[in-house]
Amino acid sequence: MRRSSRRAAARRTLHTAWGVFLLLATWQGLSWLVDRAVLPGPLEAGEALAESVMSGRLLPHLAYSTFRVLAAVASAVVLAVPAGIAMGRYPVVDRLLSPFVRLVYPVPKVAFLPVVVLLLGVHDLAKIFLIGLVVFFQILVPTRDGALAVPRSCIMSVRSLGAKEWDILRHVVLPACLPRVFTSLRIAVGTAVAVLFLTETFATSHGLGYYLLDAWSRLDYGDLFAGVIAMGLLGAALHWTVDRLEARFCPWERL
Amino acid sequence: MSLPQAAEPSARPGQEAPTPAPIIAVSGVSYTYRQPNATVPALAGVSFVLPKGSSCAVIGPSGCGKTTLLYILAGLLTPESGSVLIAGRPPAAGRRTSLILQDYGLLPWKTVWDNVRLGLEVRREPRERQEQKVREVLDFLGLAGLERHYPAQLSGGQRQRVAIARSLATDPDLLLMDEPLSSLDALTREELQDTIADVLGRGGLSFVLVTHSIEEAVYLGRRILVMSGPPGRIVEAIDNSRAGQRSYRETREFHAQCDHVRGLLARIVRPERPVTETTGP
Repeated sequence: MRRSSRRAAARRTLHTAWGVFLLLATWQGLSWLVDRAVLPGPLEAGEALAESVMSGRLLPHLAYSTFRVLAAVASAVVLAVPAGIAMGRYPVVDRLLSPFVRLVYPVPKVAFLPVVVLLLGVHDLAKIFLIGLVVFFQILVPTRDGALAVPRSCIMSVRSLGAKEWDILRHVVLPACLPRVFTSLRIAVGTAVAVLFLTETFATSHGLGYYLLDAWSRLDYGDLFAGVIAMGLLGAALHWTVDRLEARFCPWERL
Repeated sequence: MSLPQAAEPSARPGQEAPTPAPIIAVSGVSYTYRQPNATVPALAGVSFVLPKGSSCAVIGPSGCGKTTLLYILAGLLTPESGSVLIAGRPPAAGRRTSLILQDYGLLPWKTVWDNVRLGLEVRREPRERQEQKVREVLDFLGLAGLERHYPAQLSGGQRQRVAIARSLATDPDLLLMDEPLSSLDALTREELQDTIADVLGRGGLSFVLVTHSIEEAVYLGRRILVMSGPPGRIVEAIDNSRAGQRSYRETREFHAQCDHVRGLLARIVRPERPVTETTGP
């Protein structure tokens, strides 16, 4: 039993390694095909990455970006999950908020970047707000659907035990929504990093977006790709974190 | 939360036992589901009485309002007209009444232990009492060792046991069951029928069992309510005092009673065709 599970784990690691290898091979192949300085291969990019990390230039930018994304996603979750649950559970709330959600959800929120900067200043708050705003809707809608989909029999049976509304929210509706919250979070962290890039190209001299733009203007393709890799790694780390959190908070999902 | 009251002493010599208030007194209850595009009458003038410590099986064709009746008894729906008294008081969810649904109503995200503890948790019982009570019912229902399992890791029979355990943990006076065994295989089903019979035999607890199975109704219901509908009404209330005794299933009386109920049901489902009642082998 133990040996076979260890072997299965080894096989999974091997598959992941193959995945990474395929990615790098494709990249190298493309680089050879294009054969110009604008598309360095993974080896050159890796060297540039190592150099920019060693010289201490990259890490502060990475730290800024990580902070902004985490703050934005965390505030979005804190606001979107209760709002989604309230919309799913109470038709009145749904009717009140639906027009707002339906109208604002499809609008590209980054269009408000100048407005947000004017209102909230050029500091982190404006960036965090904008990223959070985009992510908020991506979490709100699935959470609401999750709360709507709770089977009536589940609620009836718990209520028959003497549960008050608060108990039903805590023991039934919230856990029923959690898997959807995590799925939406996985999508949201990708979006968050994309929006992060955009907000950091504007009125700042910190963050990976700025770092990329700076490398762009210097035509330093090595540095450019170092920044891109850092952004990819940031996204992957966030994704991994969501997976860990889901395993911790939704153990029944993986039986 | 009140602790379980001391058992009433059984009839003392030379003194007549006082007649206890019935656990259920339902009189002239009607209920209609009002949806935006339809009104569906579910119950029309249902009346019955169930003495404390007794059991009642409700049987009838699909859609005859059996589940609605249970919800009303549980205090989850309020009847349009008529009166319902549970132990002399209007029904209220969570007040010494417990409901077990067809699909068990277990929460997939809670372990067996936490599912069984839920009723005590929402009643804010002290922690030690919760633990002690959960341990007790899990042992009684043969679920020890499965505490950390999730419902998805259990068989249908085990899940139903957990649902029963969750209900018993709150020390109810009245257990309401909606086709609790309908999705189980024949052997597990009989095993759980025996478990329910044992619960009845322990005394103190009364229950209402909604079922589609004639044998189950006759084996477990000291009173059998045969319903027709929609809208649901009680066609006949049969007294069946030997219900709940394990030996009853093997007797001729049991089979005769089953045939009687079968005849009644056949007349409800196919009123146009006269049914000749078979009387025993």
